[in-house]
Amino acid sequence: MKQLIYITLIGFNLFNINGKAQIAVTYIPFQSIFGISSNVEKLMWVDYKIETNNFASSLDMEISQKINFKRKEIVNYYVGPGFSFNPAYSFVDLPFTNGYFIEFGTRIKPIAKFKNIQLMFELSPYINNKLNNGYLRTRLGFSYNFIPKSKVNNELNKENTVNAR
Amino acid sequence: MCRKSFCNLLINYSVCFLTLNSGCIKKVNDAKYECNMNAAYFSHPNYFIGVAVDPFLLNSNVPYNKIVVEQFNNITAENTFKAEYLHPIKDTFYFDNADMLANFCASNNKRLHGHTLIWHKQLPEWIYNYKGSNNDWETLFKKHIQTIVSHFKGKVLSWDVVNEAFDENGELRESIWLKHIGSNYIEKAFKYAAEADKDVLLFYNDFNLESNPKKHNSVISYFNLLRKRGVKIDGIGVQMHININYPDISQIKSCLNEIVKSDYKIHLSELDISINANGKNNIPTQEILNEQADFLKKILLHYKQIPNANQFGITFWGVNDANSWIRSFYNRIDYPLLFDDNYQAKPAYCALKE
Repeated sequence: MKQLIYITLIGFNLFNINGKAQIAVTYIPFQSIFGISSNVEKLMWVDYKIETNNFASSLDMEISQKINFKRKEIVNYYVGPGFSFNPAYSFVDLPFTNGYFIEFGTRIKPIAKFKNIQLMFELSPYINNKLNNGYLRTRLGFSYNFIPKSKVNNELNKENTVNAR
Repeated sequence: MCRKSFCNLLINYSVCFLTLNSGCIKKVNDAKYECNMNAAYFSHPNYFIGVAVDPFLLNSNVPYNKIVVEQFNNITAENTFKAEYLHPIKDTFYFDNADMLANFCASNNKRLHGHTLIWHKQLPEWIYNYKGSNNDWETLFKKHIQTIVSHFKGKVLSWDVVNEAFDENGELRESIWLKHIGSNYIEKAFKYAAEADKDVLLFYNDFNLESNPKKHNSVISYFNLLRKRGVKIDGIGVQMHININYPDISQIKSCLNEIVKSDYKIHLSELDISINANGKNNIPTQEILNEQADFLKKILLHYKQIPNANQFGITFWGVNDANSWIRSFYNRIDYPLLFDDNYQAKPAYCALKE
């Protein structure tokens, strides 16, 4: 039941909060992590990550809520809390949640003509589910934002208008 | 839009918080792990569950002996195969206790893992004080390895050829062997062992591989290079002296995955899960023991998915808590093993049996 709530929440966040299913996909090669996010150009977006190249019962997943606190032409800065979980653990009576983290990240749009292509870097203090031990994670990856270029500009314009006021 | 998003977020995280807390409440359930010790002999052909033993206790202590005979199918000598015991005097080897253990394994149908040929600790005094040329050291080194491996040919399935040769920064540790044999002493040790017994499995064994990516990456790269040069290296022993809070299971998984990628056999070679690393759990509560069992279960869950060819087995570093090296080495009370001071099964044992 608990897993169902989580999965529902993930879907709810990804496809409801942002109105339409505009997604970005990310790959973090050093840790073999695949990510799928709602529109990363919005003020608030949701990030879902899954460890790949791993055994079925060891596929750790993460969900986090991000807030873009600075959105610029070529770079966004964001922060957000999240938690790591493993659905398989529930089937063997282990704690579903692995731990919690806060991610500080940046997404750089290195090619002016293709702002959908982004490089991302995240710094993420992580603490286990008993809140008694943790470590600092770093992640470097690349991402593609599946929204039209015009929408990327619209989001930026909106942000600039708000700032101008 | 923003207000709507914020409200949704608030609802979502409230539900998350409640569900997470319900998980915590479930964890302290006292009856989470229950089992008996009957018919628990781990005889599955693909799963080897081992234990480090003391031959003296094996002969003198009935419950100790009973547990070793009934519960484990892989044996490592905790100390008996180390240089200070096998090679106490120059040109004199003492095999009696080790032979006794080898005979015990043969008569009880157990695998025997040899630990360890080359280590910088627990050497006899004469080696520490040895004065000789580089050639003399080389002769000593080769003779030590080949005499022992040849003696146990056909009795020992596998050897930890070199133990703990890397520092935490991923570089070779400054040791008596590095100083006198040179930086290629590891390669030589594996070659000499393979010459003495071409069928025996050869392992490198070290601690903190599971928690230190720099160290395990260095070790894997180093042995990949040796393999390319034709040196026989069958597996890596990940000692796994861990505690219930450290390292995180994700770090352990990452280490094991890297070793599997390079196609080495993995021996979780000295597993114990301390519950009192910070000295606050002098009396183990049921909750803490369940946490220990949960952690072991997570490790097993991952380990058993490793391809069979890469699984060598899991060895617990001691039979019961009273005999764990941790109590004497760190001078603290701890409960890191499967059986308690009275040889009764703990939740960790039940998790393993599941």
